[in-house]
Amino acid sequence: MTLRKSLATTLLLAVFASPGWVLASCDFDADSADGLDFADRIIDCEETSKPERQALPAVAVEKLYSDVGSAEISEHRVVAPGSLNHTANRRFEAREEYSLRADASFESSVTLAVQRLHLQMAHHCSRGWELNSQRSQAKRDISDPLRSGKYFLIYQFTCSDER
Amino acid sequence: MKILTPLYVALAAGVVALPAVASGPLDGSIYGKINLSVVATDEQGGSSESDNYQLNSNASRLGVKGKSELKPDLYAVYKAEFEVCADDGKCAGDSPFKQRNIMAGIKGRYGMVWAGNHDTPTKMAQSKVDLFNDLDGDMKVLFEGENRSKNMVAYTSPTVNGFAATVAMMPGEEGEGEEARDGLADGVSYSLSYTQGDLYLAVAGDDDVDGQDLLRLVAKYQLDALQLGFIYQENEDVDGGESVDEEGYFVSAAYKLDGITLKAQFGSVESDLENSDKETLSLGADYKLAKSTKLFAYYTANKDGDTDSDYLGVGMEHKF
Repeated sequence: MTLRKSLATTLLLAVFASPGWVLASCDFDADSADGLDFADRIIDCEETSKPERQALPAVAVEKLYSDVGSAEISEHRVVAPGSLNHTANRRFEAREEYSLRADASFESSVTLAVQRLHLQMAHHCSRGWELNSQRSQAKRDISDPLRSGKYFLIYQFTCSDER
Repeated sequence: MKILTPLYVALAAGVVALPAVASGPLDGSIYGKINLSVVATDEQGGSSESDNYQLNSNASRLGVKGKSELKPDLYAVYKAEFEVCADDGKCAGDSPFKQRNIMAGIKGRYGMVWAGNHDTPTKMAQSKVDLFNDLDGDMKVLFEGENRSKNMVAYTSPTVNGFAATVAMMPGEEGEGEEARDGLADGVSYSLSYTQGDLYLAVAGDDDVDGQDLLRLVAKYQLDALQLGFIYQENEDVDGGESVDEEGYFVSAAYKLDGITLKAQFGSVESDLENSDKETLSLGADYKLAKSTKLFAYYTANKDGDTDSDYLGVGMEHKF
């Protein structure tokens, strides 16, 4: 019994007095499940699966733009920078046009499109928001529908639940 | 069968209905192995004698394991493993399945808290020193302490500079009474291990687990193609049952030659009870066909008191 106590004490001290972490390598087979380090093997050898993002509740999405005909659009612009609004959990969809053509001006860049979208989000959800999705959609151009190089960047977002 | 039939129907219905309710890919993966051997068996002495050929399913199993990252450095971990009896389909009664290790736990930077029906830390500490595990030369024919315990609540420390510890408690779940095992830690099992390069050392023990107090020391060293293993164990009976105080050792060696691994192991236990000493000797070779598949052959001679048993077997193992 003296041997047991001295061995256990020595090893316990060594465990808790030593800094630094060691990670097991990923090499899992059926026998690995029986080892003392089986949990490290499972973690190292499994693809990371994060908790499923909860599906968005069914809430009406208010579009801040409207399609007119095949190419024309009319956007609800931020009317006044100082007129901020916020309705908790209200959901919007906004879009801005940008161009990837080589001769596009800076005003047509995706950077400015993102900034304009953020202005819209700040205008409608002044206390904060969650970006639910983003996507790009090619802009149909009557003159050259396949090569216009122009897109809409579309953000769907929800105002935070702060009231 | 009357109970099982609705169960199978319900399970089948669940599988068919799964795509309709699943919100994403299956979290985890399936693993397992099939290990089958044909063995010429000769058991003489004691109360039973037999001389025959057997097809054995050597702890073939099917398992599901997985993790989910809850937060950075925080995981839910689970494992559910079942033995499948590929030889006669009778693992537990007429069932082709039998529960093996099943657990779930939460693991973070400071270790893992887990619970389930699982091998004790003492059993896990042997770390493949037993080269004929699950065959006739399995060291469980020699040593106490090879337990899979019910109702186990455990903590495993992180590995720190090669050191790791696991301690498990097993409540007895007995009813009222002065002698009732109704506490949280009626049985305790622990292991402390150290791994550094090719060296593995461990001390493990049980306190009132399966009627035994037990101490086990394990050493394993990999010297190029040669693996050497050693186990020392002493155990004492604490419940006054049939078990007796014992002390013994176990040595093993494996040598790899290309795709062939030559293996040998020997163990001896002295018992306080007269005419109850035990010995086991196994010699064998594995031939690796692929990373997951091997053929093997072995000879084992076991002695348990007056009973002598000899086994000569060939088989295959496929892991998936």
